[in-house]
Amino acid sequence: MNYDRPRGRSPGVTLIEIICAFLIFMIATLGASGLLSFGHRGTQKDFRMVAAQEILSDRMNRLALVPYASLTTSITAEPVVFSSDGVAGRFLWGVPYGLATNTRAGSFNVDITLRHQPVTFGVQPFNIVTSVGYASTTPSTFAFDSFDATYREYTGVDATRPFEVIKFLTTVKWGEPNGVSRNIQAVSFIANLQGAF
Amino acid sequence: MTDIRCPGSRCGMAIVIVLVFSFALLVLGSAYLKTFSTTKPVNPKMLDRMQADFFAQGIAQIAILKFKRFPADFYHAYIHQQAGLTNIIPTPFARFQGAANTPLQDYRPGGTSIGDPVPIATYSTRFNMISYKGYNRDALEITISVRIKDIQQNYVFTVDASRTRLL
Repeated sequence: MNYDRPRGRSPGVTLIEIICAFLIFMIATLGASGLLSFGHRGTQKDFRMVAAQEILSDRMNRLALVPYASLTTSITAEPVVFSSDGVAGRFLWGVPYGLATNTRAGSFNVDITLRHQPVTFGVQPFNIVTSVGYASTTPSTFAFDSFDATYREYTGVDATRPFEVIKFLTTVKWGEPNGVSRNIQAVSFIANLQGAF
Repeated sequence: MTDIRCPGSRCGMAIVIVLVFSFALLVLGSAYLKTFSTTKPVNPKMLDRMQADFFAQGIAQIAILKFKRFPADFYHAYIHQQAGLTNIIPTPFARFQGAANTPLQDYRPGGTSIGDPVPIATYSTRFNMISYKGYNRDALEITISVRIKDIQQNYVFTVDASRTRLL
């Protein structure tokens, strides 16, 4: 008995072919969705890092504007840490610390650490007394004393050698969805440049 | 009886189409991953630059403090340096800028960098007078070179200093 193809109907595919094609498609789609998921998690992680850097930059710039005379009164210990995890609305001379929230990136915590930084300046002092025939525009007439590596000490040892530099450290902390804690930090200094000398 | 075969030349086309589509998905996914992998190493370098920037600003504060506290020593040392005199070695100006392990030149009290915990590899400071009107008004240029990890950054701060007599 011959089996004739029905007239007017185009050839189709077999059920097995469809099943195999479907399986291959599912495997490819699952792989692609895994890639997308991985990429999305990575993008979110980078976004949190960018948001943390923005917060860090903001706090550092604000702290740099606080006068030395104000900050030094806040240093009650060496170092002193201003931290208030999870609590917003805390300020250090107008600089917010504690909880910082980014609408898209989530929550961060900001710590500010202050400490006095001892510095000792070495100078080879100019001595006008021994500058024979001194003329301000004639460098050959200049006389200098011996170099003194501890010419001025600003180490806070006593009242004659007070601190003049504050080191401030800002830390931005956050937690990743997988439970890993991350933080970034920046350091700078403020010197006592006010007043006459 | 005739065997039933897949009629026509489109036998197995479904699998081929799916394979092509899957390959396209693979290419798109790889391109997406490549974009992501380019972005990822950029962020830590941005952080390094920011850390170096703020650190340099702080060192500039210390440099300005030294300039402000010892103007006479600075001016005479600078003029002596500019004249190219070699009667004093090291020159007073080099002394003023400081040797290694001093506050303006990679200071490491107790073996730890002054920038700790930020991983500052090394830094240096140079002074330069742009204009000088002796104790009246000066333009001072401070150049700070900071190296953090594998990034070397130079920061130039210009200070316009004027002095007023207190009566």
